[in-house]
Amino acid sequence: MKVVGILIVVALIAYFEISPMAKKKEIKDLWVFSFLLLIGTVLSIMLAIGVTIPNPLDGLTKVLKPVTNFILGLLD
Amino acid sequence: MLEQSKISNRQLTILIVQFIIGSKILFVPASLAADSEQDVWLSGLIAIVVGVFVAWFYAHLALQFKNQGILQYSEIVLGKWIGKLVNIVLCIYFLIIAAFLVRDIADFMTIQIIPGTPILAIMIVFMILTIIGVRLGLEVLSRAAEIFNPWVIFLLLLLLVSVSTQIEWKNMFPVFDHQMKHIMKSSLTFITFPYLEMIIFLQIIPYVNKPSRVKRNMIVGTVLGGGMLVVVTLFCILILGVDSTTRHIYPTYALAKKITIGEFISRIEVIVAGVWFLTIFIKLSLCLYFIAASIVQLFALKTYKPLTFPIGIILIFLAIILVPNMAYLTNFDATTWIPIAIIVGFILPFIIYIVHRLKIAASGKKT
Repeated sequence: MKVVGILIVVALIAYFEISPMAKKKEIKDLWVFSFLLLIGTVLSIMLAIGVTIPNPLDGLTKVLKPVTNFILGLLD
Repeated sequence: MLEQSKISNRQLTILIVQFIIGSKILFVPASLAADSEQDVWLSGLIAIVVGVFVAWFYAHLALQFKNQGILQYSEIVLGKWIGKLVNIVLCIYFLIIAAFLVRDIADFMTIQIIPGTPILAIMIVFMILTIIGVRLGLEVLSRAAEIFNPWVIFLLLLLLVSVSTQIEWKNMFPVFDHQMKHIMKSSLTFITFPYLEMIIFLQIIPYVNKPSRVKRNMIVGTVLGGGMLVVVTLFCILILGVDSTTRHIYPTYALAKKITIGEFISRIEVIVAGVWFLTIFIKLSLCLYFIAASIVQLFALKTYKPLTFPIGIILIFLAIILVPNMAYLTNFDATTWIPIAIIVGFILPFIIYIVHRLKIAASGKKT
């Protein structure tokens, strides 16, 4: 049900955005728009059906851990 | 440039003030008082001084290039591919900030005002509003900010004046009870959260009418915005006390709950909460605008407007995925966000500035 809702919303967005771009023949804009919309749709559907997605910030926290500790260590 | 719009210098100042206040005002007393407790005003002042330096540097960098934002001149200065990499980094930086902003306002609404409503509903409504705002362009946004300005000031003054009768000066003492290190640590979260995010204005300054006065506008905006935050924090400490301030998730809202005017007007905190809605709207709009502008620059597109809806969808997804809960966000802001903000917000533009100066020096020698 949620997936159907997402698809309807995405279809509406695509309908209202694509036709003006197609009229002006902005092919590159159309590609980027479609690509972003596709990413958004796939991610939203994954969220809706409950796929566990790892949090990218956890990875960022791990990578930057030495720097963070260094900066905070200066002021501890 | 992305569009043919002009904003006045006054609007730039207002945008900066609202950008700094936006969302930070909800947490600032708790995060600022976490380490320095009643010496919080000192951390605030240190942060404002550093913020003024940062603002001056941004204005100085922006004025080196005419009619170009950081997304454009990063490609010119650093070369096409490294420049594009810088743009991707900036895009991700503001994606994270924007996702946090969506999360902030939605969390605030579900925790304090309408607990029964699903968080997604608030996010979607707020996101649609922002998308409408961004699609109208930067000029409309800055005029909206100008219209919001008296309301923001009026509501903040209403908050401060009506609780000022309950000030207990003993909460301020003992003064200088904390080591300088702890005071600095508190100011560090203040510098990284609103001030090093001001890099967004490197993309907005080129639209300003009179570039000669931009430096002054940037510094005035920084001082006013930071000053408001510090005053609100100080009032929280003076009225709620250190313990209560650091323990609340939203100390400013707790402060607003204390409003009683003449013993018959009370519980008007939701009206005061209008300040956060207005300022977060402006801040989120600017972030969304910047993200769209960076994608336009990355692929050399013609217009940013169609991109706003897909970015909005991705932002709502990020707001849910990046922040599992409030505690995670608070912790993230106090730890990992500090190096990220310093790298992206200071080192990156500094490298651009140095390379630009070196290039000028090299070309000067040849001729």
